[in-house]
Amino acid sequence: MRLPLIATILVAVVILFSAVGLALRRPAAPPPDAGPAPDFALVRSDGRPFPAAELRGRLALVYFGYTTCPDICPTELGWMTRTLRALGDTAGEVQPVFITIDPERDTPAKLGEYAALFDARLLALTGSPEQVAAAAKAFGVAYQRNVPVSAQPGFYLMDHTMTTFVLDRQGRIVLRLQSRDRTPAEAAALIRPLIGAR
Amino acid sequence: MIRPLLLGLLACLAAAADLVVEQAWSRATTAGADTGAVFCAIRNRGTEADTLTAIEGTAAATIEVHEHVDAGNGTMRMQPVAGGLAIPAGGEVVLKPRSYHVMLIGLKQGLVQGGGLDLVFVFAKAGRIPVHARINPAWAMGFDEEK
Repeated sequence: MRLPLIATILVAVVILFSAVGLALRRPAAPPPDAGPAPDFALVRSDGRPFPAAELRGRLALVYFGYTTCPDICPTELGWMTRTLRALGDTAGEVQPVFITIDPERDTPAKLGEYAALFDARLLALTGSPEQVAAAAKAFGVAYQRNVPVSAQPGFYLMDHTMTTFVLDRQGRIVLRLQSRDRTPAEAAALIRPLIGAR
Repeated sequence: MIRPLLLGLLACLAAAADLVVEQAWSRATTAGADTGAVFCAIRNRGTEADTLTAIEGTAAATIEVHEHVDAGNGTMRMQPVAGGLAIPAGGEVVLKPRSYHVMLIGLKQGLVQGGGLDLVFVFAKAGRIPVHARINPAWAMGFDEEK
């Protein structure tokens, strides 16, 4: 009576671990249920409009942040540019994108100057507060103002999602990455197979 | 008469020498940036715990030690460390990306790569310790940039 129970548990555990192992080893091919491409209409740092469709045909790395961000954003954007470097010759197939969630302070010009500190290829996008809110919603990005208790009057920080989204050539979200989870080399290894998938 | 004074002075010097602030660095910002961050390692070689109570400097209007907390919903929040930053006896606290950092708010001027930044760290026991931070590229992850 006892033995079959233990055997059943053992079999269940083996199956569970195999399933987890398989899931982890699954190649990073675009999931068929990736869902519709997030739609947005934003503004480039040179003031020209930038619709989501302009990203189609290439992969994209998309990160939402703001230029007054003292630590997280430079950390994530630095990680993004290192990931591009890790991709080597194929990096040209991937468009890095930085979208501000603080359009009140991040003017197009300010944003462009900031992006240039990281990588000349980094495309910086802003828009009206409504356009930015719509873009963030399309990606499932959350943000809100946070006024630190002892900071100078009028100053605020933004709480925000730290995810870097990988978009395929159709603009669909196929990967969600965070620098604290993966080195640039590991991220590049996940992105490389997507570059081949046309 | 002079001896207790000398002893007192020596005790002060010893306390200051127990606290060491090393490998201070910052990240370059745009010319008109409002904020910056400084990172470093604080080592306490003494037998008593100490607290970093304030950081002074002319680089910014407000200078605070900040920490990251989970603000829920997958978002992160940065906020001042309440009551100062405790440095345990014989221990080390490292201020680094995604962790504690010195927050510069209201920068007087942008931080230029290759330049430097002078601060004074004020400890409850060890007193005032001058710290020079070097300014690394905006994408740096450590004192040695790539780390």
